[in-house]
Amino acid sequence: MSSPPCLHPVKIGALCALCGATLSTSELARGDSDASRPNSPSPDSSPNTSPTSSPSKPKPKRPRPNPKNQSLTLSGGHTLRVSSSYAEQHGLLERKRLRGMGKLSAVLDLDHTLVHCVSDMRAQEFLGNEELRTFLLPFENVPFNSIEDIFSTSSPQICTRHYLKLRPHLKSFLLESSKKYELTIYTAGTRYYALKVAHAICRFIVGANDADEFNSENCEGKEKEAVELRKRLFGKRIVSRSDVGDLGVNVKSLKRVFPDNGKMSVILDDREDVWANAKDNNVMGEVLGRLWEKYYEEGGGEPGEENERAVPLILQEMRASVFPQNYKFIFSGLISLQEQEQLRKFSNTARLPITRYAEDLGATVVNAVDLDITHVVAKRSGTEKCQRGAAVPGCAVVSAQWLMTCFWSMKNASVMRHLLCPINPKTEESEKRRIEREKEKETETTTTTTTTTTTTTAQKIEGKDDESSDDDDFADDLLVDF
Amino acid sequence: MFYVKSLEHQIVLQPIHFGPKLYATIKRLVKESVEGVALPHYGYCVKVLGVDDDNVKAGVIEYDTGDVCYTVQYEALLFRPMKNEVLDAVVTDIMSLGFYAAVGPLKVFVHMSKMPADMNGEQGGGFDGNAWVSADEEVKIEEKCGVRLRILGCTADDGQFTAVGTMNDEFLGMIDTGDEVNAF
Repeated sequence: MSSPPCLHPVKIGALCALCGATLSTSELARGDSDASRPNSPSPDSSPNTSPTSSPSKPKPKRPRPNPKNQSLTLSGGHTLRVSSSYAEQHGLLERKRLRGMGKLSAVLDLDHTLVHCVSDMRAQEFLGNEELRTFLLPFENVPFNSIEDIFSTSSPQICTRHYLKLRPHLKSFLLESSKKYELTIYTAGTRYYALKVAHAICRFIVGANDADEFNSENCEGKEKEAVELRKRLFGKRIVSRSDVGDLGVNVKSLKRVFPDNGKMSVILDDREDVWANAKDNNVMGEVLGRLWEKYYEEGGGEPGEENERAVPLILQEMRASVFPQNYKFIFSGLISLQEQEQLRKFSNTARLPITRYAEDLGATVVNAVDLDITHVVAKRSGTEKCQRGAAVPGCAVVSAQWLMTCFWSMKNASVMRHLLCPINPKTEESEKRRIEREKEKETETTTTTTTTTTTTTAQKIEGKDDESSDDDDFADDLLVDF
Repeated sequence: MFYVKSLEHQIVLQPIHFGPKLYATIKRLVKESVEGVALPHYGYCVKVLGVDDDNVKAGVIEYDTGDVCYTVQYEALLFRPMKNEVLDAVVTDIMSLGFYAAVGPLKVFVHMSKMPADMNGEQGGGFDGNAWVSADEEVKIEEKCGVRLRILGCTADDGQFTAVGTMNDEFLGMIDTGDEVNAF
């Protein structure tokens, strides 16, 4: 046989997963043997062409294939080390497969996303509830190979009872989303826990009672159904803390499950901050349907083609079109003095989450109240900025909750439920003044600090950048006179 | 491959065990600490076949602790995966890169490139999320089905052997659908 030498792109421990050779330390450390050798026989989708295949507009930062390894956790919790270029090829293959099925992939967190779980005995009194489940978890982390091992009680163990509350609408959510998404569970809990919870969820969906668990006579059918459902919904796609050796306390990585960094995947997690390099993929359940439609119905190239559409970019687009362009926000009481100080001092500080949410949705954030303000997003009512904003005709003073609702539902939600004080209605007079003011602005080229207009309360407002922005609390009383 | 070999093991005993049951304790401890463990170079110790009393050498007292260290010779039944050995395995995990199969305690990984060309996508077939299916859908490798593999290489680390196998050769491939097992 005269096949080209193996490049050892996939490694299990110290073995090459392709040719079975035991690798030396240097071979293990080297990832992309093929990228470093230009004339190497590279497979069909050459890694050298792939970096240019993403759409030309806003390109996600993607490094050129470099001689590096990355860990990849596959279904069943096996972790392999894969060279970067191989990971890319593999990602492409996976995307093609998903596309063939007409699905996207969704990574689901368990705690605080699908379920709530405690080991508090007080939960016992609610046990009658359909949505409250209970199961035993062993104290120690025992090694086992598959989910079947869990249910065969070969060795007695010390267990603690856990109570699981399933989130409302979980059944319809999972059943609906599984039609359009391939679901993967990614939790910071142990593998045992993840499997137990997944099974409990499926038992709930098929309607098996907790009490029946040990009464195998009348529920054998239901149990079987639950197992079938678990296989169909999640299969073996469960990643947990136990599988991921170097999982930090608060880090989850999409790259670990999807080597292409989630071009076709979304994340559902209550914590955005743990997903260090995939913040844009995080969404809320109700967005899934819209995203799927956007991905599959608006066309876009097949995986690997020039015009392939990536989920993070679609999500960015969807977010950016939520608010009309004229939306202008001012925050009140949401950014601490310390944070403001930092922002002023260091121009390269990352945007604060709240600012990022607003700007991602297409709004402009300003520091001082003026007459073009459309919303004051405030922590509480009664601050100076709130009062000034309330006086601006048409400006809504809303709680921060509103912005979060808009962000997570990707909709321009109604402000009505979140208003902190009634909107000062736009009148003909105020409109006229606004237009006048705009004209004035055009003629006067001086800075905003000097463009003071007179008469009404609303027009007393001026852009006093520095003093007014830090301490709305101290200035609360200032406006009461007017 | 299975074979029987005479091996040595060291047991450290606290003085509390010195008494009429000394030899029984030593034998028990040897069994407990060796059975089921992957011994580098030798393979998995499947069973300790016997410890002869004569083969327990006189212990050496450790001055600091008073414990005694016994060197014990025992006969063990070993399972050592060999390169190029053909084994029958049970598929345990299907994944997009290939699949894992188990031969007793040994886990064997088979990469997709080591599957027949009509199964790994080169000439049709491929991974459907839960199984590797051949182009004509005749062969479907899913969990719990039996496959015949050839071992390409193996290493021992962390008390466990890892092996890489191939299914891409004559007389290799699926030998059992696993339906009977799946029924339970």
